[in-house]
Amino acid sequence: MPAILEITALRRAYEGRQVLKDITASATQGDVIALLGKNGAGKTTLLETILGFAVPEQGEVRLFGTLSTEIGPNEKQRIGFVPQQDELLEQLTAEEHLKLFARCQPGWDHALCQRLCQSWDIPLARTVSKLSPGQRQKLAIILALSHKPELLILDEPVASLDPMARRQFLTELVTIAADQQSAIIFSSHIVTDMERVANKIWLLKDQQLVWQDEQDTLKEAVVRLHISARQPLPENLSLPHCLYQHMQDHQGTITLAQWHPEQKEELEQALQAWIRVEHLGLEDIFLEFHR
Amino acid sequence: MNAWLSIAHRLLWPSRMTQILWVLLLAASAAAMLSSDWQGIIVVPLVAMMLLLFFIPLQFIPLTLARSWLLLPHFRQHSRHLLLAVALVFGLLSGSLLHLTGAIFWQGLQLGLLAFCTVILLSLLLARLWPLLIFSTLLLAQLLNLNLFLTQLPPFAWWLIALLNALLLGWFALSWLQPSNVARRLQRSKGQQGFMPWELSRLVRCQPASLQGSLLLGANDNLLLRCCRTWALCWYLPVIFIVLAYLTAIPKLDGKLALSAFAVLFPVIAIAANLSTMMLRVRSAWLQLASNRQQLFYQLERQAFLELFLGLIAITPVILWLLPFTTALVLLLLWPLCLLSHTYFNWWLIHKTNLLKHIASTVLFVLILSLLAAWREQPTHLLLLTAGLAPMTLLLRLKARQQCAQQNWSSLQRPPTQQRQTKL
Repeated sequence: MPAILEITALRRAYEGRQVLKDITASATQGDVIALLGKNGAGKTTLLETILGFAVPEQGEVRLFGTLSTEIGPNEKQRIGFVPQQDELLEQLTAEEHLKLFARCQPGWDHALCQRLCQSWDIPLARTVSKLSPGQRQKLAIILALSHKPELLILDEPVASLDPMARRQFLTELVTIAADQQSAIIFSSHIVTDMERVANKIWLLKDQQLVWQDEQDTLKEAVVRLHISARQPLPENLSLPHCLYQHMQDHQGTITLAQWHPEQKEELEQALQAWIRVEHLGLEDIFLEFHR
Repeated sequence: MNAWLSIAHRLLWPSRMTQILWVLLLAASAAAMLSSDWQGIIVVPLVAMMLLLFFIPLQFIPLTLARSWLLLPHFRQHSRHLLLAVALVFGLLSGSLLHLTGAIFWQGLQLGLLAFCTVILLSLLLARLWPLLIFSTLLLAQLLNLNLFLTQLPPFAWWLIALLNALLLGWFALSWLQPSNVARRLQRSKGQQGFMPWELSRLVRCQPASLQGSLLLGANDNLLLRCCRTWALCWYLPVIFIVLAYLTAIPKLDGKLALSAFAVLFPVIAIAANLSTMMLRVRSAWLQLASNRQQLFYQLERQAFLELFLGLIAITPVILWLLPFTTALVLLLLWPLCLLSHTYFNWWLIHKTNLLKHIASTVLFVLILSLLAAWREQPTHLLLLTAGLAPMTLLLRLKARQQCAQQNWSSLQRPPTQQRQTKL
């Protein structure tokens, strides 16, 4: 399957400070990628670099085979983007805004647009400046979705949405990814939402992508081990890919990032202990990576 | 005391630059006092201090529309008291200035208070910048006829002015940021309706011509509305002066060198400012712009040329009306060149701090304004200036194009909140 997005050895610095380091990743049709990272980890910088807003210091980003710094109207029409802060024209009504975008996007799906406006209760006659933050966010999402982009990039798109709108939005995302075979990359701090729809996870930490794989693989690979031993446990265990460990007397907890089930028996024998393996949710995995 | 100082800081010296300016002006005033000819010298720092106070609405209106600030204990009360104190200081400065020029202190005090109330306090009361712009123009016109104004006004009129000042100050003290009107202000600030000439598009609902044009200009890019906006900008000052000349004994605009030059160059500032802001809007228009990074500069330039062309059409009658014919012809070359060089300059320095851009723009503007006023009758000099400006404009264009190709569009600030909230 041809890659919609290819990032190779990307480096970005901002005012002399390294923001992204050696990022290599790709996205293909049908991918719904959740981009996770702490505040200031470089999520927005990564998304904006993908879109070609800035010239990378090193490495390259290719969108549909074209360098992101050279994308023209053909590539731009195939991209949808919802920024963190909406960039709507305040003087227009919501309806005028939609019409203006529809005129400029050849693939505009009027039926989809109308359906979303109705289900999200967008007050079409009201000027954008008078819409609530949530309504503005919904309008920005509709504008990004309605031309059926092949690559959809969403930077914290659900921050201002109520739970019902969030659920509807996530359903739409899954439908779009499945029906149109688009690639979707989205960042959000509501990890439960990401867990619900993403099939791939990109985890940014210390300016690098420390994890990029299927969500299921991540959940199988990152585990918390609860150890109970008859004799006191050593204070520090040297284990590969250990994210966290806490030992106290006969009890201990270890979080490992590259877990294989066959390791359990080996560890139990080595420590003369009984080990319970706990598989973590995405939010816990995120927290463990950032301990 | 801490809260009081903190609010004074936000009100009077919010940036390092203004802090330095205040210190320099106070030091200059102190130094002037030591001089033997102190009466002549002290006028300059005093006037500069008074001008600094005119920035209060620009820096303070956004705070008065922010809920987090309004909720701070004592914010409203302290800022109200501070502003009333500043009004008094402004009046005293004005009184002292006029007293130094031989007028009566009391009259200067009243005029200063009137200016402060109508320009600064009214802007704050309405949370809009249009009173600042309109009344500053009137004030400027009135200052040029100050002697006429002071001698012709009957004594009872000064008592009327004093009464008006008391009423305005009282109105401000009683109503500004009172709980009853704060909610209304906040609601209104959400759905802003502008009154400035370039906000005419709000009065007429026209279909925008293009998405990318609208996103870049931050307003409706319909050609008719663009024409209306440009004509309003170019004729705003002349019309005010025509009306003033008709209603009062103020001489016509074409008789005043500095004002004529200002009326001609004022649209340059406004149009160039909008074209500079266009660069800040590239980020939001990015995916809608039908060009790649390498072609982007030319697309932005085309938008700028259209604005320039519309501006030139609108300003031509003003130039021909206000200036001698040969000077006007030369100025028709100089005017677009000024606008272009200013625009390229701002585009080149788009990633730099505003301070640097503003200082450079002000120097350029004041220089051309002074030269225009001085060489009004010497078109050859102006022609030479135009010829000198042309290669500089080309150089700036080259720099701007290079900058545009490398620019990190996401790192640029969005148009300032102040601009969005106050529509200036």
